Amino acid sequence: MKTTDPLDVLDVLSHEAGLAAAESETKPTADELRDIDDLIAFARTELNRQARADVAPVATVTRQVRPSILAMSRDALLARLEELRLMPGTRLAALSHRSPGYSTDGDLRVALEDLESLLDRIGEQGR
Amino acid sequence: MSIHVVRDPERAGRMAWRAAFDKQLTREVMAKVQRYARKRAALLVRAGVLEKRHAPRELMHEAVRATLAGEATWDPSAVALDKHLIGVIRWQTRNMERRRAKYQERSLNDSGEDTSTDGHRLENEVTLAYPPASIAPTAALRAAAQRVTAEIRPLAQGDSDVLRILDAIEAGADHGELIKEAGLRPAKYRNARRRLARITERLSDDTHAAVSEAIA
Repeated sequence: MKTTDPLDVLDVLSHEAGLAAAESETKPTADELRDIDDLIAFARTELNRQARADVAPVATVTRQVRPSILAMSRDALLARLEELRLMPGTRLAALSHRSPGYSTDGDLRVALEDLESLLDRIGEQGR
Repeated sequence: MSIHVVRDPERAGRMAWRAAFDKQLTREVMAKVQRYARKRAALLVRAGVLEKRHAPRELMHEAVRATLAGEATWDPSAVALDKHLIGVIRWQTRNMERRRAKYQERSLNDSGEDTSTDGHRLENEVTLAYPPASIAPTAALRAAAQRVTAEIRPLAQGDSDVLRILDAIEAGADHGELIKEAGLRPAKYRNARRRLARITERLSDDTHAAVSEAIA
């Protein structure tokens, strides 16, 4: 058995005892619950402060989107994007990186504009 | 017509992090962390390693603050918030007397060294947040810690699983190695650990008084 520092022993021992206590179903007292609520309120205030600070300076780019795409519903946007993604003989599939489930309508419109513009250019080159 | 598009993936990452924190910030999770902090602090205060003013409330507050400030890095995809906060509290309270010594050393020889890693940053933060009221001699603290752990063993007599855990700890096993070193199945280990936690509640007040006297 190797010689172990008593402070290390106490460290592991109190950690194990703490973990066992954490796993127990003991309900907090009223005072402890108040401490918990205070801490949750503090954390939420800080999270909100960070969120507000995050909103202020946002880098944006302005994209031109054709009126016909702006007029499309979300379902129509998704259907057209899927149609283009599956179009054979093009490299459009590589551009369909946006996940519709996590995209706003604005994102979808920009994505479709990218694809339609690319198609337009391909069409012009083919003429 | 044009559309303004947010192009800031880092911001999206921060938003996701905050959403994960907020989701796990429940009474249930915090009560778990509180039970850990209470038990851990009680034992360390009894041994004189931790000063009484470091109550569970303060330890939890510091762990949450350090996490929100990014000083204690939390990866929501790797570990649950309660486990992370428990880890931070353990770190904060680990070998407090050595940190006090380090603080004193740093005060005397402030080299302005780069402390860019999270661990160092957190250590500095915690150490500086809790400046020493007095520097207790390390040898006395060791003796006090030994006294507390020595008192647990007789209370565990007859409980072979708890004794195996104590043997493994005294042989130098840390949390992740205990099950293997103690040679217990996970369920038996958890039950024995629960009994060990109950045993610590039976430590006599005499021990506390003796410890206080030893490090006074």
